[in-house]
Amino acid sequence: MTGSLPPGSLLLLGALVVPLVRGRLQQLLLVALPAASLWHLSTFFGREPGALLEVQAFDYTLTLIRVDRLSLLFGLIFHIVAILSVIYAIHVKDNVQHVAGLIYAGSAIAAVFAGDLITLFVFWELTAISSVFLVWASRNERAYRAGMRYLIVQVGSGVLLLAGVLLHLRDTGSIAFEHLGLVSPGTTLIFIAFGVKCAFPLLHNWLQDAYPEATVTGTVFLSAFTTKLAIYTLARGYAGTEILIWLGVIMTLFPIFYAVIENNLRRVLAYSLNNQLGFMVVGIGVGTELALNGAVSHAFVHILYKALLFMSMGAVLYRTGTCEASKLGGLYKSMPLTTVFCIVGAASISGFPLFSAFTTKSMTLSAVAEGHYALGAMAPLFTLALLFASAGVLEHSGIKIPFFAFFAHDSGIRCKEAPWNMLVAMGATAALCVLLGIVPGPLYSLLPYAVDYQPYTTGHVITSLQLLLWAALAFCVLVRYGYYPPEMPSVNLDFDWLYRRVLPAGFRAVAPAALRARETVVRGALGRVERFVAGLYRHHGPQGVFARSWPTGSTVLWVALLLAFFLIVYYV
Amino acid sequence: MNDDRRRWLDDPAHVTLLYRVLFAVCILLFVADFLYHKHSHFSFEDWPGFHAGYGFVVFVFIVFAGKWLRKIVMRDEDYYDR
Repeated sequence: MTGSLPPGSLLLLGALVVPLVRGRLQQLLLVALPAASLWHLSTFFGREPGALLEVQAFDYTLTLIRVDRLSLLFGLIFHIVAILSVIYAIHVKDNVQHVAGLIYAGSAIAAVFAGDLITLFVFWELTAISSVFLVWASRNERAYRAGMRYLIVQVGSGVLLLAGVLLHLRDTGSIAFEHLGLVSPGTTLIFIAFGVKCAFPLLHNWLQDAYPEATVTGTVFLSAFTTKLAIYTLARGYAGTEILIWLGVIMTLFPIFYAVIENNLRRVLAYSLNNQLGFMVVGIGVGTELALNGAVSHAFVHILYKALLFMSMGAVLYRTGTCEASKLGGLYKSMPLTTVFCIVGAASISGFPLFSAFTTKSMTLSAVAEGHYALGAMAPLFTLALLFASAGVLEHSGIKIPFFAFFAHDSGIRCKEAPWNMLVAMGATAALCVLLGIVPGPLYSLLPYAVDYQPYTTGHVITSLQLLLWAALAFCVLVRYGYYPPEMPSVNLDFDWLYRRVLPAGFRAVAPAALRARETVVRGALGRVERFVAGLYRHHGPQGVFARSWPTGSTVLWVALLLAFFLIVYYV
Repeated sequence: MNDDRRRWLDDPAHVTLLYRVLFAVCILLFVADFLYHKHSHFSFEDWPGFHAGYGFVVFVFIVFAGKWLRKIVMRDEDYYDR
């Protein structure tokens, strides 16, 4: 029975029951659903890889369940983070958020197990449509507008995907979702569709725009699924595509500078998320077994520490009503546990030894360095760029987030510690971050390829600590001597400026002229029609030559004249 | 926990102490570079204290680049709401 249901479907079906119950029963159901779904997933571990459920739809065979190491790994982490996010959100009394969160998680999980591109498309769109409600659930004008922009981009990605799938189907006659590569217009469109969800450079702004506007708990869900689903699809379809290395390196670098100057700490985390995706994209682009293991394992631990950081900032927003660095500070006095959990997340994302990114991100770095024969002269540059980005991660997520929220100058805000359910979720996530940092073995054993990698070598520990602690020292020096820029309430223009300002302004500038031009054309055409009608009227109207009523007398006269003419001719 | 009592960190002398401890740890890490054999992929990784210096310089660069970027992209908070 369980073998005939795709993983994630329990969440999709269960979400429909959630609004029917309330109170404790609803809370119980919310936790039970992802837990039951995780149990359901566990029945797929150890089975022979391959298509386990196929259905016939028209002329096509849809593969609803395709199981292999890659899909199982993503299925597992999506379940873990779904359980943690649900616990974090369990105090919320808003059915919209609960239903949207479960459908979103369920569709992302189902998408991971889709073995063909049409099934993937269906769940791809379902993640877009369900997740936007987590933004709209903030129920204010800004969130409504940001959600609209988010929805347009996400559904646009789905449209690109569908167009690419159709072209690909025409070229090859296959809808199977296997390695695709950039070989045809169809696969290129699919690549761009994945790239939109993966926040490629210039396609990225929906992320920084929408995530900080979502609800306290909604952002935790959002941070986990959409972008990592894209990482999964890229790893499956485009491993070893060289342009991904370039795109990934750009993604690791440019968000750093925005993160330094951004004031909204949840938006800082959104930029940081973008930067983390870059490391994974580089790994997929390098495409060796070590690099893919690095990318995928980094996605696994990243989901946890990014959720943890969003949870801690969510708790701050929940208790103080703001997430702006310029208004916060000194919160460690009021929220000591949240502070500790946030620091664990910050240490994990920075890759300190004993924390999770140390055991995974370094695999990608090693793969880049070891691939230096294939990558040629660019390998040292890529390595330097990724080390640069690692110091950048320390700046915005490792130091800025905990420092400005919990330490810095005392803002005078005194609030309660986060609610118990948030603390439980943060504590469990933090424990996982530390566990995966100290004992990476279980994660390594689940990776797509056999792992022959030892993170804890003397050289790796010392060089990592050097990079991170000397960078931290730089921070201390800059702050002590007043060179560190103060946090300021502001908006920083990014690429979305083009479609939020330039395009509308251009439209407003062009619109009056266009309207005038249209009026001239229409008036000219109407004038011509009017003149034509007037002409018709003159000739054929009641007063026209052809419609004149001829007096009976003149007819009689003409008849008499004709008769007279006839008589004369006859007698002659 | 939720009061205005003075904490250990509220004393500037203690902050200075932390700063000095960090500085000392950094020096130790630099010295540690001479104590083990490196297995590096690129020659620059063999320079003593490469990662330390690179981390410090990059961090300073990022912060100053951010200050410069502010001059170009920073607008009022209600820029998009007007």
